[in-house]
Amino acid sequence: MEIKEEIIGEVLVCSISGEINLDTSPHLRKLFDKAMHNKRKRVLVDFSGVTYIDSSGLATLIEMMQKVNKIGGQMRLSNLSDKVRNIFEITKLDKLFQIYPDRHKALENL
Amino acid sequence: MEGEVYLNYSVKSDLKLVQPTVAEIIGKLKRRVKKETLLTDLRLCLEEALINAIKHGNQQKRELEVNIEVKQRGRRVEFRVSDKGKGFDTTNIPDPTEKNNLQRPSGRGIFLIKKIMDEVRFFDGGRTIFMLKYLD
Repeated sequence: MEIKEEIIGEVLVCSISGEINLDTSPHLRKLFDKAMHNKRKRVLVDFSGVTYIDSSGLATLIEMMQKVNKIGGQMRLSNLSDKVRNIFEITKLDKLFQIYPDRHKALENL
Repeated sequence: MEGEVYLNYSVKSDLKLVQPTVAEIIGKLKRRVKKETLLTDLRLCLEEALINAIKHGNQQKRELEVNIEVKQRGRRVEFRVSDKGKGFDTTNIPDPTEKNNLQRPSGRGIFLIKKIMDEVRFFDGGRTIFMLKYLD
C-alpha cells in the first residue's frame, strides 16, 4: 500500500493505492497522522488505486475521519471501485462517509 | 470440473500468518473458481474468520492453533475455521449498521461474512464457524 499526499487549495488530498487490510492499516494510520501534523481541516481520500479493503481497513478509515472531525474538519472519499464501494454499502458506511464518484466533485463539496 | 478439493491447515495464532495462509488457500481454489469477484469474496471472508479466531478466540496466544478446513465440490465452497478459545454468544452479535454502532471502528468482520457468504453457522459455543458459498 502507498499513500501520496498533495495540497490542492486548502485541501489535503491523500491518494491511496494497493490494499487496505490488516497488514497495511497500521502503516496507513501512521502516514495519515504524519500528513495531518499541521491539522488540515479539509481532507480528501482518493481511492483510485485501492484494490481491496477489509474490516481493519474500514476501522482505520473511521478513525481517520474521527480525527479530522475532532479538529472541526471534514473528510471526503472519492473514486471507489465497484468492489470497494460494495463493502461500504454492505456495512452502511456509505451513510457515514461522504463519497463522491471523482476527485473533482469531492473537491467541489469540501 | 470433476473431483473434490480438501485442504486442512493448522495455523499458529499469529496475525502475520493470516495473509500468507489465506493467499495459499485462495491460490489453490483459483483453478476451480474462475470469477475474480468471487475469489475476492472468499478471500475476505476467510481472512475475517481467521483474524477473529486468532484475535478474539485464541487471544493471540501464539502456541494455540487455529484449524482451517476447506472443501470444494461442484458448486459448493465450504470453510470451517476453529479456535481453542472460550467461545462467545453467537446469538448476541451487535449489528454494526445500527445507528449507535455505525461510528464504532471495530465489529464488522462477522457481519461482512454473514452478508457475503450464502450460509454461516456456528458450532461448539462459537469456537467453530462454518461458511458456505455457492459458485454460480
